[in-house]
Parts: sequence; structure tokens; C-alpha cells
Amino acid sequence: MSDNIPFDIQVDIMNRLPVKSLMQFRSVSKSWKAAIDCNDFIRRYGFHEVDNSSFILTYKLDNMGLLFNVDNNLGFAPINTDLMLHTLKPVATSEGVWCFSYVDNVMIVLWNPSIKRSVGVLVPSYMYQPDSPKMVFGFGVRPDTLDPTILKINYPYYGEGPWHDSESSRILPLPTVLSSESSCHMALCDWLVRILPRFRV
Amino acid sequence: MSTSSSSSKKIVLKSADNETFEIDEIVALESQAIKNMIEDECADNVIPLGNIDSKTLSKIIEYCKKHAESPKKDDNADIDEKAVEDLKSFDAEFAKVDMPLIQDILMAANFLNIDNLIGLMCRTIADRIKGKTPEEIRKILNINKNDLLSPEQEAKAREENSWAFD
Repeated sequence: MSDNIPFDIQVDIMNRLPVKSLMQFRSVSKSWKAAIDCNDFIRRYGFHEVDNSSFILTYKLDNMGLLFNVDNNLGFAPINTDLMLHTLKPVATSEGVWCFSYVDNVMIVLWNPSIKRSVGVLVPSYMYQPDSPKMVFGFGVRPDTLDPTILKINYPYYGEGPWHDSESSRILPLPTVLSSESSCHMALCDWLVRILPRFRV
Repeated sequence: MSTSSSSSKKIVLKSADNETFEIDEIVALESQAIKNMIEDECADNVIPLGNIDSKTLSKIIEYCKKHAESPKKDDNADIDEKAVEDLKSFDAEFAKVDMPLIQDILMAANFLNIDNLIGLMCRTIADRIKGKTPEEIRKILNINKNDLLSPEQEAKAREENSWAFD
């Protein structure tokens, strides 16, 4: 038997390769590149790594940025990344995909560390929200469809008082963690997704 | 779970190079394709396998024998760990052959539809190629020349892999 291995079996082989090799093997052939780049493939690959860390810490060091996982016992584990972190502020992480806001909220950057891919999404109506110039972001991957979902909430400068849930008038905790430069809590996006209207990009 | 009795039905497989192999039906049933043939009563006394040579076929039969004899997981909830370990180490030993034979076994297993064996061979190939260069992969898997990326596309693919947002 000297025929080639059928392509669906080659894909089966690809599925068993570590991500690092897979990224290199995008240049094996057109078919390999197409298979590795196709969404299904990435989806199967990219959404497995869910880490159990409670917090993500970034900080600036000169022009570099550093990224750490921080667990419940305040243990630090550095995370390798190609991202230029000094320009990025973490928003949230969900299903192994990370969300950052870029330079004064002009853009949202989603990053999937397991495939080393990132994608930037311009924030709509960034400049023109005269009534509600302040904004916060939320991010989560919908568990049913695996759609990455980004939330943008604009609110006025004078919005000093407590936040209310419009349906129950229940007072909500202020999103203080989001306003902090240094950390973001993973549960936050759940909180936002549950009570505020979703907005998809 | 016991090995089938010696009075069980026999199946004869004939390789591309006209060698015949007589095996117990229960061993042949590891192949979904042969199982379908038997169930549809399409199987004569001798099943010719015109695209599998005798070297490959004897390896496949060795695999099917071992797996047919081993207690299946759903047979008995508490099959002893030893049997599982035994099968694992058999698989590991079984896969210690050269790459061309691995590929022949894979193609034959695909033709005969033996799921576990396809999985084992894919795992083995993945293990062996993971540290290689794209060029080596092309050679090993005999990738069609028409399917290669142009030098520009290749450079771009490489660049994208180290792509950083800035």
C-alpha cells in the first residue's frame, strides 16, 4: 500500500498533536493549513484549557507587560505571551479565551493562548456617547454556542450611586474590580452576562 | 470473556500477495467491515483483501487476536486493572515498527474499519512527527506537491505563528 493516508485520517493525526507542533505544521501544505485554521478545529482545540486561577495580574515594566495567574492562596505563576501587554488592560477570561481592552478602550483584544492567536475588535461608538462617556466591559464565552461575547456598558460621569437591576430594583455591587488597573476577577463576566443585555461583536 | 472454543467458525483472509490466514470468526469481528460482510452474508469462505499485503495483514491479525481475547470494558464493570495494563503494554509494543509499516497498518485498519487500531496508529504517528519540521512531515506523509504552499504563503504562515499584537 503506497497510497497516501486519506485526509480525514490525517486530520485525526493532527487532532492528537500538541498545539505547538500544530502551529508549525500550518506550513506543511495548503490542506493542512486550511484544516488547522478552520474554526471547528480551533474550537475543538482552543476551548479545552480552562484554568482554575482566581485572578489574573498584569503589570507594566518599562515597555513590557507581565502576566500572571494568581491562585486562591496568592501563588503566582507567570504566563508566557506574545501580546504587548503594556497597552492592554485585562477584562476577563472565559473558557480559555482572554479578553483585554486596548488603549483607552478603543479596541477589544481577544486572545486564545492555547493556539497563540489574538484578534482585535474595534469598539463601536467609542467616541460619541455624550450622555454616558464612561464605559466598562464584560466578556464571556457562551457555553452553549461557544461564541465569544463582549459587553460594553456606558454610564454617565454622575452615576455615583448604587447600580440597580432594572427588573427587580435590586441594588448591585459597583463594578469596582473592573475599574482597577491591575486585576480582574473571572466571575465578573458571569455577573454582567446575567443581568445586563448582551451585545455581540 | 473466555477465548472462544476451538469449534468456533473460521474465516479465511487472503492477502494481496495471495497468502491465506485462517482465523476465528470472533477475531475477524474486530473489523467492522468484515463484521458487516458476515452479517450481510456477503462473506464467502475466503475474503480477498487485494490491497493489504501479508506482512501488514499478519500484524493486523495479531492485533485483532489480542483485542478479541481481552475482556471488553462493557462486559464486566470490574475487569481487573491488570488486563487493561496488559492491553496497554501490548499496544505499546505493537506500535514499535517502522513508519512505512505503521502507515500501511493505518490504511488497512481504515479499510477494515478497526476503530481502536486506527486510533493507536494515529497516536503513534502523531507522537513520532510532533518534533519534526514541516519539510520532514511532507516527506513522511508523502504530501502531494500540488498541495504545497508557495514560498510567499509559507513565509506568511510562519510569520503568523509568531504574530504579536502591537
